[in-house]
Amino acid sequence: MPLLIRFLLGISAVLLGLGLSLPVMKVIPRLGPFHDYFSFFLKDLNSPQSFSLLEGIRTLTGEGHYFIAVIILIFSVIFPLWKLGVLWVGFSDLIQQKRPGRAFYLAEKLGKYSMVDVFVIALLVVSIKGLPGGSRVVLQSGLFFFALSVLTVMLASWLIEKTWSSQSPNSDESTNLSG
Amino acid sequence: MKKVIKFLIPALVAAVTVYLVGVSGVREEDSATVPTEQDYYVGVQLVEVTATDKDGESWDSFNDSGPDLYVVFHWQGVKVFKSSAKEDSLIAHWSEAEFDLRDYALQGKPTSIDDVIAGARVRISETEPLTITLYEKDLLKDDLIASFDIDLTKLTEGTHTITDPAPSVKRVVLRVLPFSALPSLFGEKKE
Repeated sequence: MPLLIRFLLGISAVLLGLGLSLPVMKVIPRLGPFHDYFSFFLKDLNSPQSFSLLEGIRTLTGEGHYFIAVIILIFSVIFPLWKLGVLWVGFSDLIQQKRPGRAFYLAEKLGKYSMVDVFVIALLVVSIKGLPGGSRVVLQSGLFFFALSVLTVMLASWLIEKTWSSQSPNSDESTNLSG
Repeated sequence: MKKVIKFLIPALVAAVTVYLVGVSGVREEDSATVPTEQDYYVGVQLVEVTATDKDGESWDSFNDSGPDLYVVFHWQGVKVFKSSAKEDSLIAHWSEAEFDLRDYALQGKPTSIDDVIAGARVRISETEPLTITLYEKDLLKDDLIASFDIDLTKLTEGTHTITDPAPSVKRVVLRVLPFSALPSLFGEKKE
C-alpha cells in the first residue's frame, strides 16, 4: 500500500505539471454571417487560440489583472503543489510511525478547494459559449489532466487515511482525514 | 532540511513535467501545418532585407536610398503572382488585397474579391514547391536579390514567417489562407 500511495502522489505531480502546461481550452472565434468576409482580412479570426493555465496567468499579469492572476496562481499552482508536498512529507512521517505535522491535517481539510479553478473554468466555458456570432470554447487535454491530478490526490488522501486508520485504530485524528 | 527536500519532491516532478512539455513541442497544435492536396491563397505580407546587398554594397548606386522591393511567385514553373513594388524599403509590407482603382473606374472592370486578393492560388503538394523570387526594381533592368524554394506542406495557416531564407534577406512573412476563407456574402462560390 505505501508504494501505491507514493506512486499516486508522484503521478499526481506529473498530471499537475501536464495540467498546468497543456492547453485547458481552445477559443474558436466566429463573427456569425460576416465571418467569411472579415476572416480574410483579420487573420486572427482564422486562428483558434489555445490557453494553458500558466499562459493564462502570464497573460493576466501582462495585462495588469494582478488580482485574478494571483487568485488563479494560488488555487491552481501553489495550493496543489503545497498539498502534494505536505502529503508526501506527512505520509513519510506516518510510515516511520511519527505523528505528521499540523499542515498535513490542514491540507486534508482544504482539499476540496483544489477544484475551485476547475469550477471557474467551467463557468468561463458556459459564459463564452453563450456569446453571439458562434464563437466557441473547446475544452482541451490540460483541463482533464488537471482534474485527474486532483482526483489522484483525493484517492491518495483516502488511501493514507485508510492505512493510518488500520495502523492506529484508536486515534481520534485518524477519522475525517479526507476532508 | 530533509523534510524540506521531501516537501519539494512533488513540485520538482511537476516542474520537470512542465519543462518537458515545453521542450517537446506538444503545444504546437495551434500552428499545425496545412493539409496536402488543398487549395490555398499564398501571399506575401512582409519582406525584410539587410542594409546592404549580398556583396556588402549599398542598394542604390546613385544615392543612399533603400531598394524598391517586389516579389514574384513561381509554382510548377509558372509565374503565379507578382506583387507591387515598395519603394526605398528595407522592410516592405503588402496589404491583403490590392487593386488599381483606375482599372475599375475607367475601364469598368468587374469587381470580384478573388481578383483583388494579393496572392497566388496554389495546391499544397509535397512535390511542387513554391519559388519565391525577390527583385529590386530598377529603371533599366530589375536586379535579382534572392530566389528560394519553400515546401508548401511546411506552411502554417495564417501568417508564416521564414527567417534568413537567403543572403541579404532577413525574413519573409507569408499569408496562408484556405479557399474557404473567401467571402461568400457577395455570391462568391465556395469550394
